[in-house]
Amino acid sequence: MTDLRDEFLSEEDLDLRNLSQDELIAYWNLWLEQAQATNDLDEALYSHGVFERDPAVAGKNREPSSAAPARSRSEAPSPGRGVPPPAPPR
Amino acid sequence: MNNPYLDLTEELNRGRLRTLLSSGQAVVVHRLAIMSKDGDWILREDAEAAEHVLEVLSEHGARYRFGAPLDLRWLAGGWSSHLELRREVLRIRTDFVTRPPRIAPEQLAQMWEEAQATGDDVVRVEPLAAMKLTNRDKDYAVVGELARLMTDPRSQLRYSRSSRDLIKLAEEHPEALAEATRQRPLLARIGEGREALEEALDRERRALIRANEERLARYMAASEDWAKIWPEVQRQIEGLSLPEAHRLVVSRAEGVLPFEPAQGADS
Repeated sequence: MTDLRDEFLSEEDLDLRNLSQDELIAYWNLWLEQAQATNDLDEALYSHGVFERDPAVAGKNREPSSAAPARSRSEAPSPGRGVPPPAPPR
Repeated sequence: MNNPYLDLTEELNRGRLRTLLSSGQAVVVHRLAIMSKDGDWILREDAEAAEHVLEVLSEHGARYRFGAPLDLRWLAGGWSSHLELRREVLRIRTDFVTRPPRIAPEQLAQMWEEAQATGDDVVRVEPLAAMKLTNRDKDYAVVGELARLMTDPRSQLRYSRSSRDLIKLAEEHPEALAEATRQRPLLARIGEGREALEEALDRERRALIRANEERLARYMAASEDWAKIWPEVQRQIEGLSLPEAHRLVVSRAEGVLPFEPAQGADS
């Protein structure tokens, strides 16, 4: 019998461990390319640091959680297939 | 094969270790998940490091975003500096702090010592977990998995988000539990079973979220005047080289953006 385990990230996320270094970088780069699709939506927003919003683009952006087009996990191919999941960044 | 964040980290550390790749991109290097398209580095708090970073970013045609100047007077107060550049189709955001949140000064010094000794310029799992105790729910999932990468049971006990893992760790490492409980009071509830422990974990997460929100609120309040004049500052720096823009941003921020937020802000 297999012990149950608390799950925090998906199998797809954790599958990064099984990639070679070159596969990881290819997947990572492709993910970054796909993530550019939300650049307009998060132009004013910050992922890190102590600032939350650029006042020069105030009113233009909403929080990505509500602004980014939602896509289900089923649309996100696994790393093994060489295509990055389009999870909204930030 | 190249990656923009690994390449940039190499350039920032050319000739000397000045930066540690942090946050979301560090999580990728630790092979947990790809969740962020922006880059975040801990910068060594010295003038040469800041000058070199500006030089490298200038070579890449970077521009300032709203934030603190990349100047040690502000960075030492816990502020963050934010720049952005283009690399082919990618928008690369480069964010810098010298005083990462929830990292004590002695721990930060140890991080630099270890990085120097090992040549590893990526934030290690334990400090990364501390930095990920943010006000965003999704970061707690990352912390939960980072804890599983830790090799020291005391560290796992300090950061694990899993009641099952904590109960198992307590059974296997009772001596580590005693020590870790002094730093993480919820561990005292392990003996009460999973449900009580899970309630305590939820409460702890909510408290950590609020603490970070309060920290950010102090910085936000302290930067209100700077935010008001930023649109004008941004117009002034448009078209300037990064060194020229930097000088202007520094001169405009002086007297408007305090070097430290109001008392009580942590680092």
